[in-house]
Amino acid sequence: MHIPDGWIDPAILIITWFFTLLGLFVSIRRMKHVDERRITYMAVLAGTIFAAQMLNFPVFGGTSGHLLGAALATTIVGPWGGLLVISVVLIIQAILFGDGGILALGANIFNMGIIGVFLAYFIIRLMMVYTDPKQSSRMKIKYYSGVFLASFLSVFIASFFAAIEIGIPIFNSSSFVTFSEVLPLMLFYHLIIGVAEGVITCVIVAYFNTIEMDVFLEVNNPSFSFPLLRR
Amino acid sequence: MRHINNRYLFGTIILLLGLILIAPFADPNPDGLESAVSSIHDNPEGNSFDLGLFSDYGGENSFLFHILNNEFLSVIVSAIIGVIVIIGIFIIPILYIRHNKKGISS
Repeated sequence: MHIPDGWIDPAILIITWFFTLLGLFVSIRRMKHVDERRITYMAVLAGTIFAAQMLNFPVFGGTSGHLLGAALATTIVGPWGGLLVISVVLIIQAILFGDGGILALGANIFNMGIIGVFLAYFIIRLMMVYTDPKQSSRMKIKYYSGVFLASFLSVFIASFFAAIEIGIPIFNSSSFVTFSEVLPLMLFYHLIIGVAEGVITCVIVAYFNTIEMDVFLEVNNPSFSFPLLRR
Repeated sequence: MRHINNRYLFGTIILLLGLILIAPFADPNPDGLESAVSSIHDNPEGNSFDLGLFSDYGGENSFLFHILNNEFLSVIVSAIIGVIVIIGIFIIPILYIRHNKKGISS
């Protein structure tokens, strides 16, 4: 889902860069009081997401997909930490590996970081806050449905935003694809990629639950990272 | 500081190594975005800021591939370099926190 340079209208670039820089500014400020343990988790998580994004798995229709990792990041280090993790991965991919454009980096961080991470966070908060999978099988189903749905929708909606950005020209009328052309195809491919993302994320979260890690520490304690969402 | 969950680190590092080792076997087909655009437009060429060192994660066009002359190895090496750079970025705030702690304790 890495958009290269030259695919997006300059006006869309400016808008996405504005929200990206704002998001990064707030994230870095939120990290001021974060301890060493959490940054260690973020570092290892970022390395893993980078390696996972390198790995394209085959998808029906002669295309391929890779893990986005936004839902995984938000479950482990919260939305602000998750945004930083995804942003660092995307910046390194763009600068060192030529994956995604530099000018389009704002749009890529906006889609996969801001949309992916925060959407996953809101779904997890809505569906599974204070849900303990060890209490009953019903709770377990609710818990993993939340993880799956958050992962799936983070990919699916991020691709929807990517389609909007690619397909809607504002100043640059020479855009080579239109929104109506690119949207159904993007949603179709990312529907399948999203299912794979959901399954992979559930497996990883299940592993973290077996080692009794505070997987949803930040999700269950929103005041820790996101006072606006305090219930 | 709260205790670091060693099993988290162990599990994630094993996962990381596994991913790096299977990276050369990844699907060569374009991803969902490129597929969507290429099915509408014949040549959806975009530009990337490409230094050429690790293009396509150690693919045939990269400088690393020309040095190692082995795609399997160049993909693995570029993955390791990427992971090291990314983890290195997060070491900066850890060093900053340690430096501040030292300053407070002294």
